[in-house]
Amino acid sequence: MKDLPLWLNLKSLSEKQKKLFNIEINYLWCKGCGICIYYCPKKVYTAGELGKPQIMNMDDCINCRLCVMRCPDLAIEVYPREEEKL
Amino acid sequence: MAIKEKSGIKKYLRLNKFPHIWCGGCGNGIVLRGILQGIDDLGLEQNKIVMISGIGCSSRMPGYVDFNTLHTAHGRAIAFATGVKLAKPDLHVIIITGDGDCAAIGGNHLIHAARRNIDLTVVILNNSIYGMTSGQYSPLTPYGSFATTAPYGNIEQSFDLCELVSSAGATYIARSTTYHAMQIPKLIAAGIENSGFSFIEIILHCHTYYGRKNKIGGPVEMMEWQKSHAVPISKKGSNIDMTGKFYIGELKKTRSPEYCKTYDELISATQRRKES
Ligand SMILES: Cc1ncc(C[n+]2csc(CCOP(=O)(O)OP(=O)(O)O)c2C)c(N)n1
Ligand code: SF4
Ligand code: SF4
Repeated sequence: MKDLPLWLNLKSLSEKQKKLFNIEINYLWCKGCGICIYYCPKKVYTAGELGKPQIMNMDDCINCRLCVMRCPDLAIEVYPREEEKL
Repeated sequence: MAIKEKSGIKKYLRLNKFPHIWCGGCGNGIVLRGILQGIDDLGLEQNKIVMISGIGCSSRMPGYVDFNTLHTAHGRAIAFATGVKLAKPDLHVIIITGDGDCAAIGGNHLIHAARRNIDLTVVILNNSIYGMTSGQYSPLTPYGSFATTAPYGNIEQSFDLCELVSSAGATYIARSTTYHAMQIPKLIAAGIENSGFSFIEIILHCHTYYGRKNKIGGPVEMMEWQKSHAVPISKKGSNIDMTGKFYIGELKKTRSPEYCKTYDELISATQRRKES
């Protein structure tokens, strides 16, 4: 970070407001029940092949963890995204 | 590099047993997730936990977790658990049982364990039906609803198990649903922490049998039903029409002598008397 020019540092400061999260879906465990798709308050998922969730807008995830806790197949992980390496 | 804070529950799973055997969308997996989160929140040592079940879809749960586990006979989980707890009182004993397992064939074990206030945590997965054996009605199938053995509607009244174990002597009683999955870990943790008989009823969906027989729909429709029929216990006393509805949350928290502790005290007191 400290090697970056000042203007870039300022930009990343303003972007810090919004926290980003990664979502991982274990498609070998997922059975395509649709619970995560229906209950996501940010409409992050859409139904893909066999009704399994496709991640559409990962950046909209707010880490509410409703999908993590309601997935009957323990197939979803949500965790803070690593800082983007420039 | 920022640390990846993935959920800490994977360490409790027997990963080679996944994907699990339950139907796609079955509520059993949601309860499993909630229980593991509750255990993780307490930071309990893995080897100090014993998970014991009877027979049924729900009772397959211990097979998926890396604790000390026992998969016993239908309805007998509490009897085995009583033995384990008396022999090793420092272990946390969690019982996983279905509504048939717990209230039909296992009903007597349930009321007597509650009466003794032995330090066990019973989690009953109430899907209103016998799932594993293909949809017969159980003592918790609501009056008038359909099952393979009640094709014209169930003519029996169902138990309110929370009321039953309360009058029998349980000291911690809570209820939740799979819709309210975020609430489950807290109730499980409080149940484990209570030194005495804890009873946690989770109302969950078996869309494969109960949902289909009663034309409710799939997992989502059944969870929506739970949402509209569950009333937080904090609202008790306000004039909500409770017909067909049920309370969720911590229904009872009280104290009374715990069985294993009383047993130990009795032994030491008797030994002291003999020595003097
Ligand atoms: C002694 C004995 N009687 C009957 C059975 C058959 N049986 C297996 S599971 C079950 C009922 C399961 O229902 P429940 O406890 O509600 O669990 P679920 O499958 O719904 O999770 C029955 C009657 C058995 N295995 N052993
Ligand atoms: S809730 Fe879980 S099993 Fe169901 S579709 Fe989503 S990821 Fe798959
Ligand atoms: S039959 Fe019902 S209880 Fe059994 S796994 Fe399927 S949905 Fe779950």
